[in-house]
Amino acid sequence: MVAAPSLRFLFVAVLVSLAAACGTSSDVATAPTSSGAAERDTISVAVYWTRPYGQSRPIDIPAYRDDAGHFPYVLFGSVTNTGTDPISPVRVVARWPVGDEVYNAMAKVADPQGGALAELAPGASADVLVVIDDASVANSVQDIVPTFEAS
Amino acid sequence: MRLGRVVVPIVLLVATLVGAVPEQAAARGMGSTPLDDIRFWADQKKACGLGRDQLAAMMMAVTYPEAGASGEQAPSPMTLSRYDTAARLYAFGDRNTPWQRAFWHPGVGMWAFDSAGGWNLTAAGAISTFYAAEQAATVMASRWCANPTRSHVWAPWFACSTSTVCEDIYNNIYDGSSLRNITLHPGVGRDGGMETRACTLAGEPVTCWYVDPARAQGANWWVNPSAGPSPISVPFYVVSVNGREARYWLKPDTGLSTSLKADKPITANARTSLTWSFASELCDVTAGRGDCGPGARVATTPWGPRTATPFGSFDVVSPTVGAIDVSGWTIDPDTNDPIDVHVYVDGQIVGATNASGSRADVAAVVPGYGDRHGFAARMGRVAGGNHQVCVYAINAPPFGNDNPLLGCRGVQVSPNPTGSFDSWVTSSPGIRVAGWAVDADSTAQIGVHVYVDDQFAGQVVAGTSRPDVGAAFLWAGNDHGYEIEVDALPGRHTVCTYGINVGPGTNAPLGCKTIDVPDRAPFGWLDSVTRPSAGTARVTGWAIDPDRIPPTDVHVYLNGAFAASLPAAANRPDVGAAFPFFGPSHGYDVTLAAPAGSVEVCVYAINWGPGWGNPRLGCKTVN
Repeated sequence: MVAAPSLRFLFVAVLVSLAAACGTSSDVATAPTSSGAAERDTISVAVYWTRPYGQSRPIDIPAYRDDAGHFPYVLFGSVTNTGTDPISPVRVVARWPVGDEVYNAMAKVADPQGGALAELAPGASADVLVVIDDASVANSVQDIVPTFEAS
Repeated sequence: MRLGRVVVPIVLLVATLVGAVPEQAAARGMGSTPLDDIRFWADQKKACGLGRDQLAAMMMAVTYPEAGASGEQAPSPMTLSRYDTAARLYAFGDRNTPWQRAFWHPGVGMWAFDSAGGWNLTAAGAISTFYAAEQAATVMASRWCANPTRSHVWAPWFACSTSTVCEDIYNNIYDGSSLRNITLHPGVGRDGGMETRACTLAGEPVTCWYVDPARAQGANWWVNPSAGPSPISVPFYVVSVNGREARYWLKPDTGLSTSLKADKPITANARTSLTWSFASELCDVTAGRGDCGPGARVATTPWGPRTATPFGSFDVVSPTVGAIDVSGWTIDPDTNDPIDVHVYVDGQIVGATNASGSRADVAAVVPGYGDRHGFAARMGRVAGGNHQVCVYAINAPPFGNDNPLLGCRGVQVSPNPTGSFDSWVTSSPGIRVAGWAVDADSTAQIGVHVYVDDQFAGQVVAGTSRPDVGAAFLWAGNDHGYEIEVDALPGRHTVCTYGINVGPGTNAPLGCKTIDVPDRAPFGWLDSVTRPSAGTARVTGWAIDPDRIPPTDVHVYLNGAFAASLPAAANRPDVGAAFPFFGPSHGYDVTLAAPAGSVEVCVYAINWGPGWGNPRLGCKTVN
């Protein structure tokens, strides 16, 4: 069981070389992890919506609520365990190729009440949320379709 | 469901539209059939304490902001997203493509199901409220079971996650137990203007759907070219084959020199997985459009050009005995050959015929197809009563798959027996009548009653073979003839026959005839009575029985007492001249002993065979 960090700290933007990210699926809706599959959990992620950075439409759902007057980039979707083993702890990373580089961000996998999900059973789905609070990073990635991996 | 990088403009538009609505008071519009679909699936999927209308209200609340339906507008099932300008959505992934309007709209339908959501819906499925409502109901009910709050249920829909608009609409259209404040729009159908058609792909038949934004039903703000940052597509076809969704833009729709195709796995995100190509493989056989090889023929008619689908007219329906006679004409533009028509009575098929009869009038106004396109047929069995008769033309390949309705007409078929009083012969003891009778309500043999001068004279079951009747009324069979002999005295009579009703209706006259029944009794004359000598009387005359040529007998009475019986066999050339058929041997001439004084002599002809009584030929007195 991994204690759920606060949402703001879930965001991690890491620049790595694009080559390091090659091999990940480019298909958001059916994004299985394709590298290191033997030891990596298999997931698929569907994206329901995104909110551009700075757009002043406050989000209020169990998985996320904006701080007053502050509007980061938000991606909301669903993650499904497509493997045969439970995933615990549930860790999902979103990756955006930007030129020759890759932005990475940890996603929050939420339980129905909005808390961090401890375990994702085979075949089960949960809400997934990515928040990018850095304007420059958000503006770089928000036009790009990310890929997702279980980490 | 909203996904995109250029959200602001359309969001503002929607916000403006929705913001103008007094959410708590005004009714909300919804297509009648879409509402049926929503309630149906809400009922099917309700769970974890959800009521049908509660789930339906949650499903509906999403559609107004997602489809941009304001006020009493009905959300358009065909709604196409206009906010996303990802390059891959343009032809060949080029935002500057010359095929600007061959655009893949990623979000489709009242619930704006976006391909990034991984939904197992093609554009056709997302448009059809029957399929889309099932998806929405499934998702919302599942989320409710996980966390029974509407904010959790609606989280997959951006509009409901960023304002109270959905909550406001929900409270407006749901009173805690039932839907309310709904304005129905019968003109907004399940498919919202999308049309299901028959297509071929490289010659193989497939179902396809034609999505023409100009035909969108309901709130169609999104059709306006300036309604969003993305183009609005020209009409396109949707085809689902082997788990992939393909969209085709045909040359006639794009106005360009080639048709285009884009496809992807159904559940894949269009932004990352579309494959674009030039295409020359889709033929809309319903409309005769696209890459169909040799082009569909075009019939020139007074009503404009016609392609692919048969056309024609259901001219006349008339009732007959337990059946109907229909006539009209039809032509399939694809062929000069006659095509079939199917005839329905009250929704049930009763027969088919080939429209191959000559109709010179049709040939005169539809040139190039010949004149063998008329139909005239008797269809049955049709029970008595009022009926609606509809005639459909049956499409001929290769183009079109609709069997269009040529028309419907009302007709009243008598429930009463019908038939005929065909013939009669006089006979012993009276009259033999014959005819036929059927009842539209039964194939069984029915009764026939005979009346002579308004008096019941006899009855019979109409069960003798009448092949002519069977040929005219195939449903009835042959055995509906009748023959019966009834008594009738010589003289003029009115003879009527009546069919005895079966099922609905009443007994019905089959016909009446005035019949002269001849007197079949013998006739003749007493010519003379004389006294050739005292104590005798000579009696002469003639007699004929019309039922025989040989002489008939006469009886002679003197003063009321029988005196003699003799055949009227004497030669009477005058009688033979008057009745040559019977000949001259019908005279009588007899001398009898007779008392002196006045004697009355009477002669009677004795009847033989048919006829009534022994008529007196005359009486004379001799002194």
